[in-house]
Amino acid sequence: MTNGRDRIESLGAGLVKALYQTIRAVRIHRDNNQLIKDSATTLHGAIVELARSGGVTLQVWRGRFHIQGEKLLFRRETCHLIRELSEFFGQRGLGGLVFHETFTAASPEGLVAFVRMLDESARNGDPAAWLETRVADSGFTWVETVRKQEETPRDLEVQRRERARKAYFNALAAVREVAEKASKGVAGVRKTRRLAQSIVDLVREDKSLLLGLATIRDYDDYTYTHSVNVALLATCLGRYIGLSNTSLEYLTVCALFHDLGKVGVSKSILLKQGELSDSEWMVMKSHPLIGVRKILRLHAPQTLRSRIILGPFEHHLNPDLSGYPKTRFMKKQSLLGRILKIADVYEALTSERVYRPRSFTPDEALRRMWKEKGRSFDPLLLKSFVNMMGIYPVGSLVELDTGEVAVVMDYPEGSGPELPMVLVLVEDGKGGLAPGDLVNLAARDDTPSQKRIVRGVHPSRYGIEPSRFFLQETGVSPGL
Amino acid sequence: MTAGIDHLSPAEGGAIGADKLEAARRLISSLLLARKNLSLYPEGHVIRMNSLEALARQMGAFLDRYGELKLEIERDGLGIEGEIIHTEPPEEGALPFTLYRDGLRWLAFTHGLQLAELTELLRIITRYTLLSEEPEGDIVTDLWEKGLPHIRYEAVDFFWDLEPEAELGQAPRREEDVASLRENTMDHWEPTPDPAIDPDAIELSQYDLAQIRTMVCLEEEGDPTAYLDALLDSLLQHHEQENFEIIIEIFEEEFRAALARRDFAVTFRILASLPAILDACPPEAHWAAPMIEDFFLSVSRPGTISVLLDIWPELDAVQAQKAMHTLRLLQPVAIPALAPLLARRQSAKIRDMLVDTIASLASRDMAPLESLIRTRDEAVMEKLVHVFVRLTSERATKCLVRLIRHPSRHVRQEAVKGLMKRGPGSLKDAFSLIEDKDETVRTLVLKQMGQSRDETAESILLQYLQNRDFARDQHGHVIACFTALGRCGSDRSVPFLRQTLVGQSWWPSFGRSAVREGAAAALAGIGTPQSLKVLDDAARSLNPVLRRLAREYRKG
Repeated sequence: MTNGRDRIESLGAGLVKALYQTIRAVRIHRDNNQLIKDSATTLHGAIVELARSGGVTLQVWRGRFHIQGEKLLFRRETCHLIRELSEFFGQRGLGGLVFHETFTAASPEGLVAFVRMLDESARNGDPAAWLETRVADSGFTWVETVRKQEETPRDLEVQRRERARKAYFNALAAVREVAEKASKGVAGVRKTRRLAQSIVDLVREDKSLLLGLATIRDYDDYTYTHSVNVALLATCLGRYIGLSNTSLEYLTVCALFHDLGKVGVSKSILLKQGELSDSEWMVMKSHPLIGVRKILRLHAPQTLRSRIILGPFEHHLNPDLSGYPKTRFMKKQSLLGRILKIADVYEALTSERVYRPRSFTPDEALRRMWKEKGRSFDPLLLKSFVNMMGIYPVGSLVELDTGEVAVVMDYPEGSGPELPMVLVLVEDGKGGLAPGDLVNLAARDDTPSQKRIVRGVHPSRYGIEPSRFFLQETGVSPGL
Repeated sequence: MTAGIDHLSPAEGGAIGADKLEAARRLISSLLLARKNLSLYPEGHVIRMNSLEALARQMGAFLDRYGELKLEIERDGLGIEGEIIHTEPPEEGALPFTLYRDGLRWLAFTHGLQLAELTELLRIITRYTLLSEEPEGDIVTDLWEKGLPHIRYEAVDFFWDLEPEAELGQAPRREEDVASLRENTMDHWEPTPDPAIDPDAIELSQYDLAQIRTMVCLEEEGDPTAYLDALLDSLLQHHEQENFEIIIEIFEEEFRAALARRDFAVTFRILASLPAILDACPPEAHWAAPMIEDFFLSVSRPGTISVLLDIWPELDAVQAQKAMHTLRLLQPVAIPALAPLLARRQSAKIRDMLVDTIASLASRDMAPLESLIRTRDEAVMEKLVHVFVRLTSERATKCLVRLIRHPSRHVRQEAVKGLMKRGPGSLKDAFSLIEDKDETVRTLVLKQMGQSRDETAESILLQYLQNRDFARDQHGHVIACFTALGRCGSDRSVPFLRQTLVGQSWWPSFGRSAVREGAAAALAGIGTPQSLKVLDDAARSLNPVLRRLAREYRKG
């Protein structure tokens, strides 16, 4: 299924590029020009290739292109043309194009004529209506123009967000259920595995969405939200370094279960302000071992069990096996354990805890962890993690060189770890902040007003929860 | 959520073509037949293969014509484009119910579908047709993990729909809900900001990427001993009996699984490491030693070891060598389960290693090996006798003595060989087979007796020859006995031999001629001046028979 998505992503990017070039070509040249012919042939080929399994649906929504319902990723080389094409469609009141199965019968000349119509439609009062009439008059039955709709389209991306939201809640419920059952008797892992598969699919489809979800904080249900957030972060890192689906599934499951050993540790220890006594530390340090025991008691296939023990056992170990629990037989920390350690510490640092004045901002947490690379973390994995998260991770609140405050929303492909796409926050007139423009800091459009991040800022300074903006903007807010 | 075929209705905008419906129905019939045959017949069976191939052909033709087959799944039926094409009561075993119960809502077959994909799908469905209370997997999980490229599906998380979704922060607080992360040693607030990360420092070089790829590859291969190491380290620190017991049980499971998949590195790791755990246990963990002993006994019993019977003939020398490392660490109670392996097809080298291994176990406790003496499995006993031979204990010798009466000639022969090597005490036992009904056994006894000069062997033979009246048909046996005496004997036998050769009546009789010839042979075999002088004297005898014998044997 994912291969299909990768194919659409690759062919879709080609289609958008070819459409852009053809539009530019028809503006300058006559129909017999070789450049037009070449562009039209490429565009024709791209559509035919995609149309093999039926028609081709191209939609524009919130400045992003969706081919067959799949969102095209931002890439450095396509960033500007996506923005321009998006504006092109917007000016014509178009929400998208549908090329029907019959497109294979269309000639490249017909396609050029259609692109000319698209371009010329902007000169009319109601471009979309004009276009519909011209398309019908020309007998272009292979194409259909779709008007821009104000309401949110119920497309695959919306469904994906809904799936992501459900997966998050279900993961919380699963960890809670397993924790409770594991304390009383035998629990199964079937639900958790199915959930892990959903999370892996979602990470493959939209990593940013999952990283955004991982910024959810719920201190009433801390162990469980922490476990789910760690699972999302760990799975994203696992995917980033190229783990297979099955290994990602194991990683997700062991991340969801990594703190099972904490369920049962007394609240007086967990919430104690100030230093823990030696005996309290002993109890606290036993949680990886208790977690292992609980996982062993789960009703799980032998293969799965053998792969999900190590992470929870090792998540407080350092690469040199210092830390705890003490080891004598173990020779090295496993890859899943090393990933889990990074995700666990990052999540913990960015969460409010009773024993420190405030949480670390995401960029502060990364800087703190970076200082510990090699000692506490595998340097290559930490490097990968910072690359994946960006120096200002998704969901961070940042201050721009314009003095504006923004929430980091995404890192377009190839944009570099310090140039994310941000949601600028504006005053809402009631003393608070509201979402403003979405700005891609990586876009190199030579405008003198190109914005840059100056620093990360703590949300408490503005009394806001950045994850709310992120989730609201990405359509995941209902229910939170 | 819909729950029945009532949900399926003709698609809007026109009914599906009758020919397509009919083709889909036929396809489902073939699918059901192939599923049935896959569960009934073993892999490679012609009926199973034929029905799978027929299904693949039919499916290919359908996909060629219609592009895709998307089966809509309900509790009690299957449909396409809203039309019902197959119904079955919603009960265990029914295809629609099996798929629906697992959360599958549609299953689509696309162009390019391979026979192998169809086979895998049906295998997965068959595996999970009967649902256990706590299943170890499910159809969706297996489909997801296999990633069959031309089979798509949609699954719902049906089990979540049973409960209303909880809202964050609204879940009832539990005492044990809240945990802290203070144990992250670096997690303490410092007002001094950490230095910024240099974007260049986090750039992943080609070398970094290659290193990461290697790490990923190693992870994908999996290292089962790493998991065991974690369990061993857990054991070291679990000083409560219950926790210890859980991990020991897991080790037992892991041992069995590893043995079945021939992962002898894992089995060895488990057996070799557990004693170290015992050494590290504090005195108050007095229950640990019996628990570990029980573990060793348990994994040494046939219930665990018998899995080797199936895989043994396929092991190569390297694997067998690794297996021996494990087997040597078992308890001697493993011997009855290991003995049948000796009779399996294998190279002489592997069998020899196995004999050594069993002998090594028996040297710790003979009883399990002794109990096998009564086995009626001659094929096993013929190999097992080598184990007794290899053992030097008195109990092993006694077993060999018993084995010289074994119905199998081979067992008797090997027992004799073994006994003969054990010195004077055993010779007498072995010699009891001197008149065995089997000539080869008799020959072997004499051959062993005559291997070297040996006072005991000489005495036994002398005694036998002095006190035995031989029958007419024992000529060959008599000569063989004297010859053996000649090989092991000394001048001590010369008086008897002289008497036998020259001190008897001249009149011919069977008894006399045979023993005379034997005595001549023995004297020549002893080869001392004293024995040869007897022959020389005989050569000058007036009795022509004696002269002939003396000449013949003196010449050698």
